[in-house]
Amino acid sequence: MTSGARELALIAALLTAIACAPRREPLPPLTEPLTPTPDAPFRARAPEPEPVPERLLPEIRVEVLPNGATIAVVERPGSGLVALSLIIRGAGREPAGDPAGLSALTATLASKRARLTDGRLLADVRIDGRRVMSEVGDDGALFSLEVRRSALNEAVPLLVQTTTDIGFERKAFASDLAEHLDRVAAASHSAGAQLRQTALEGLYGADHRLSRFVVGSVKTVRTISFDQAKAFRDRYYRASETVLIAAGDTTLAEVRTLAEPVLGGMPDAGGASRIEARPRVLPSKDLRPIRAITNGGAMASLMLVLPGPGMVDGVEFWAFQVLIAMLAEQPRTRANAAVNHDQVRTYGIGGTVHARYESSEAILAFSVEPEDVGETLEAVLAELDAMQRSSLDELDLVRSQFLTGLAASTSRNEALVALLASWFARRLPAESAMALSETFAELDPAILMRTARAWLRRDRLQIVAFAPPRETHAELHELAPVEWFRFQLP
Amino acid sequence: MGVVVAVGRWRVSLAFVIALSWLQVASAEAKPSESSAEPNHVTIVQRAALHYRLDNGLDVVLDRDPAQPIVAVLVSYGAGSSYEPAGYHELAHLTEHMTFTGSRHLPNGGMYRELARAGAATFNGVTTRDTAEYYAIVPARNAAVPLWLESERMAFTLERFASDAFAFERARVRKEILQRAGSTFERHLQRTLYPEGHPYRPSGDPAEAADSLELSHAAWFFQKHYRPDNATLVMVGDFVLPRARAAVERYFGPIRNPQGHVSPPSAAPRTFRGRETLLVESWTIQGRLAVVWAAPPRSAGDWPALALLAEMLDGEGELSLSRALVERGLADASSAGLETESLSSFFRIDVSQRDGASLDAIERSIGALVQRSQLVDVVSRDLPEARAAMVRRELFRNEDYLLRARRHAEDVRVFGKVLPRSERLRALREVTPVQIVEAARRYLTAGRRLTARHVHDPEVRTRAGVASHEVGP
Repeated sequence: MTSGARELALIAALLTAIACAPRREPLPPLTEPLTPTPDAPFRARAPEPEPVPERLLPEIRVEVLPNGATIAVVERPGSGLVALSLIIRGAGREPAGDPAGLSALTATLASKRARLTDGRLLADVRIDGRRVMSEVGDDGALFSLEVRRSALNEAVPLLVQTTTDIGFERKAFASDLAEHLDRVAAASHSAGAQLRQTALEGLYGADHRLSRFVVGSVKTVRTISFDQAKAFRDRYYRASETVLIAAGDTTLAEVRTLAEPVLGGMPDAGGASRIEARPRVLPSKDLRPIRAITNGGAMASLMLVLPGPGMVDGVEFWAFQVLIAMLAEQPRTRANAAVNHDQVRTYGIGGTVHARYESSEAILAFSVEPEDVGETLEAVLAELDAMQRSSLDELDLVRSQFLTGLAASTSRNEALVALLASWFARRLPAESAMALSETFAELDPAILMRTARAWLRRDRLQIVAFAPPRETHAELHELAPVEWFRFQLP
Repeated sequence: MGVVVAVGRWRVSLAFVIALSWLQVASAEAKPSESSAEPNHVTIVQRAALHYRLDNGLDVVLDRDPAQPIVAVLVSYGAGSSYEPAGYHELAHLTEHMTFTGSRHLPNGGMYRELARAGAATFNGVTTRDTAEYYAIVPARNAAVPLWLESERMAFTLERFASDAFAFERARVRKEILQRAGSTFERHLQRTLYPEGHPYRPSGDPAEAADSLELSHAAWFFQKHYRPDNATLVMVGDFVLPRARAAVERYFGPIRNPQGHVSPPSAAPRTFRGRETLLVESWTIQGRLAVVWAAPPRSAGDWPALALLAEMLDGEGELSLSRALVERGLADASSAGLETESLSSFFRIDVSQRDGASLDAIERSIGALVQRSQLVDVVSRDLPEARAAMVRRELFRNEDYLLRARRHAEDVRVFGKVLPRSERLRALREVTPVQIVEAARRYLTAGRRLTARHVHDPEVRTRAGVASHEVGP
């Protein structure tokens, strides 16, 4: 550009800025005094807090039926609602040899095709506007419903119908499959879901069962036959692996009376419970190649995915949770401070842990402008390294926040049942849910540091991005080689 | 735990849901304020929330519930974005950020530290169009900590507004705005719904608007709006009532109002002159369609009828959007709801387009459903379940102390009082199918609505996208 052209461009930019500047009236001056309220000695310091109480979760009453099925109830009289969940452990994400999405399809058939004694299809029955929801995770299949207390007599028998095979109908399978495929397509149509799967492929390999969408893909689900779904159901839907959970305005005795006629008749084929091995992380000497999905927008979304211990690992798992909470989740945590200490690069870094029985992944996620991608990533990675050497003395704060958060989130019956469902699905005894504060009391800085050294490592990390390639490739490439993918349409 | 294979979402404004009251007192230990009973329905205890006003004008709501050993504390100010003077977009939001940056008795970051020490499970500030709200959930035994902090925020923050903190927070607000920039479609839709000069109209470039603000602006906004006579304090949870009252009086009683007063914003309701269309083109991973009609305000007699109609469209009966669109492969998700705020009320249907489906086909399906909603026999069949679902949702919201606190604050702001649950539920019980059909015919007309489409265009690389708005006959 010539100097004359440059001048013209600057003048044009200035005129544009002036034209676009917000037109507004000046605001009046402040009035004095700025602080009309008198001070007082009690305002000098915040009240000194008391320690968080030991028992923040309610009592869970448990009973095992003769066939091995379990019923667990949290009695909360007066709430007016009852949340219900039925978990089939081992009926979650299918083993590697089965087609991806088999467990999800089976769960859909169980909740849709099961038929009540009066002939109605379970899927057609709605109570208070809701029908039985099916959901499949890594550790089990989950069927849930929340109803008013008055509808409990209908809701419990309805829910336990999912444990029967009465509705598995060969002649209806084709239409059931077609309907299920629509949902499979919708489930994968999100940037977050695809980013996560991309990360797991990088960590465990494209062929690993964890690298597949838990609902499968249209391509794989389309190939599943009725016999395969039925065989999966017969193999894994067993009494000893089944837990019915209720929380709300009911009692253990009441739930048992309503559930036992069907749940008590569920067969138990015997044999060992299905437990998966901890996934092996593909080896890497340092940062592995960054996997990026093309985004035509203006911002870059990034995820750092770290494999971690499973719930079977007890205290180490909770130490990992606490470390991730220290790193992210609140505006003043370590990662946020590291990234924004000299200038603001991101609004905030969020951290979550996706847990299962044998393993977990921590996900740190944030959005930045393309020009800040490199520095932000470097700052987060540096903080990750620093945690292996740090005194981690904010443990007490995080511990009490964690326990209060648990109490707050489980004030709702539905959330409490979801928590207990994950507990039972991961084969943890009910007592350990009630005694979480004792588990947390075992945590100390030495355990945290040991856990940080074992798990917060660059060579175990996968970075994924949803970003505009032209603006971010160079920044990402300074850290590690970059592999670009297209966003997958269903 | 996994992927939920279901669709559909509810969007009626939380504060204005009213459902049937099928509740009666059961426990001898309870001291209920009121009760009503219907056969074969749930019996629960209903306690009244205490509402009173301090001498300085602060509204206080204390709702004791010992079910969980936690307390939610919330303070709501009439200090939302609709209170911003013209040309000062994002000022309310930026001022909210500034209230966390220190005060006479707390350094910058001190508030977070004290809440963390108190074991706060969650705490945050949120700016909406109508309010700026601050909340925390703490173990019950530490309820005094958020009370002290909120009194500190109200009375001793302004004098510590500082330039370096302001520059940092302005940059953070900018990042927050950019992170939200994925809602290009929503911003264009909102600017179409609210004409120039309307207090709810968003800025065309909120990031630039934030960049243009100065410390003195935030200080003015704070002094003007953060005052006891423009605020409501709510506590929900396990506390001892006399002690809570004493703490509130101690911390908030002496707080003085600055000079002047706050006048809430006002605006004429938006109407549609004919068939309005909005087309937004930008890079997007999924197309969208929204159909919006003007709806009555919350105080109108036919508002509950429309609320029930929204429930039916969002449910799984004959009027189900999900069945009409998702199960037929036209959409990945759909929702219907009433969006009612202080200065506006709209009935809205939203659809996320399935890849390969036609937006025209989606729009036709919506039209057919709306036609069916004007048939009494169809509405009659869906109504019982819709009512039951709303009761269940009302009970569900009641379990969450923070949601309950928010509702109390909104009741005080809108109605001047806390609404007991039975009053909430009564209006819906009285709605008949004929009333719903009449409301549908009156408001959900084909000739007076806005249809907005978001279409993927890979050539459009700007953050704002390209939009065109037309008004038809």
